[in-house]
Amino acid sequence: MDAFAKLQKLAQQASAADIMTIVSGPAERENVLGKMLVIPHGQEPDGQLLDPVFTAKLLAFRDAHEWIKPQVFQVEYHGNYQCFWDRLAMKPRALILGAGHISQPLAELLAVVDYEVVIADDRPDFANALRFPQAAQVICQSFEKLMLQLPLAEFSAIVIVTRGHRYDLDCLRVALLQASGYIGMIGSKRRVASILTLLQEEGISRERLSRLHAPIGLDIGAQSPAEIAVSIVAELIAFMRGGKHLPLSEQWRSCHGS
Amino acid sequence: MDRNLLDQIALARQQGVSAALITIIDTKGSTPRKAGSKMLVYPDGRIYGTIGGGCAEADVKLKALQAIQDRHSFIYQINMVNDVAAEEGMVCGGIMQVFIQMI
Repeated sequence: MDAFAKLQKLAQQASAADIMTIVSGPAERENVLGKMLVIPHGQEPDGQLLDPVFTAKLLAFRDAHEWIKPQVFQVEYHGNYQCFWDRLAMKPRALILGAGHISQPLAELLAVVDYEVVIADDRPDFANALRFPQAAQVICQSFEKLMLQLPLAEFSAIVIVTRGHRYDLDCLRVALLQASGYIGMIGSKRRVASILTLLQEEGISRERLSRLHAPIGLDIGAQSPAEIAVSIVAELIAFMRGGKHLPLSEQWRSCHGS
Repeated sequence: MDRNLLDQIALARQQGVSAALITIIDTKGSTPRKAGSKMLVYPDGRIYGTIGGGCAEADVKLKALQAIQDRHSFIYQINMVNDVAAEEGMVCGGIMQVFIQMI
């Protein structure tokens, strides 16, 4: 797989990567201009550029410098090379199914924490771009069709907050099979229990069902739509970052025995 | 580099179209866009994306079309500070280096 194909694949997975491109070099090395090295974040580089020594020089430069913006830097290696350091940095995407009262503050908060937000509902009055100025996309479509059309695996988070039980179930069924990130669904304990029982009877494995965050959100005593949105986003952040869902003060006390 | 651009690059390659990727790699003074901005130039003269529009972009596009013929990648500098540039309507007053890269 060459650099562009690798980058496209990383972009589809919403992964970040450093990109090093040789933009100038000694006259006799014109053939290396435009050659690229892709270094996915948290991983080893994908192959090498020129040879292991040159590649190591690029990595050393990256490790020694904080990323601020795309820049050119010099590399001495049997002559003078210039490399361009760029980045693939994708916003993670969140899908909100249902465009009701909670969805509005939820979309706002997700945008603040830098998600690209997509919202869908089957009611034109609700799935309305004017109600969601922060959303990248607002889709008006029946949930059934929508779940067939959307590339669910590309979303880091799917939040199911439709207006009704039946639609929640339609969405959840497909999301559990196709999505790979966070899946959360709103509902009372009783409603969640009945949905889970139903899906189990339909043959969806316990393991798959265990991926569902329902009832959605952290227990912060949220009441208003905006508070519930905070509780959902808090749970999502904890999921993405491996957080413990606990007050930091409690952790501090348990460490310090007071 | 963003996903939409990468999709366009993949599409061009799939179709066997030899396009050029233009990247602003350095700017000095006032320029419409900064390092990292990108644009694709297709052999038929179409473009995807922008490096700031105007005369500078048109100039780079011509260079890129030549480069596509010769199949080689290189750095090209656009000077928007001198009198000629002002007469041509490049009014930003900066210097911009772009890398023209075969994809």
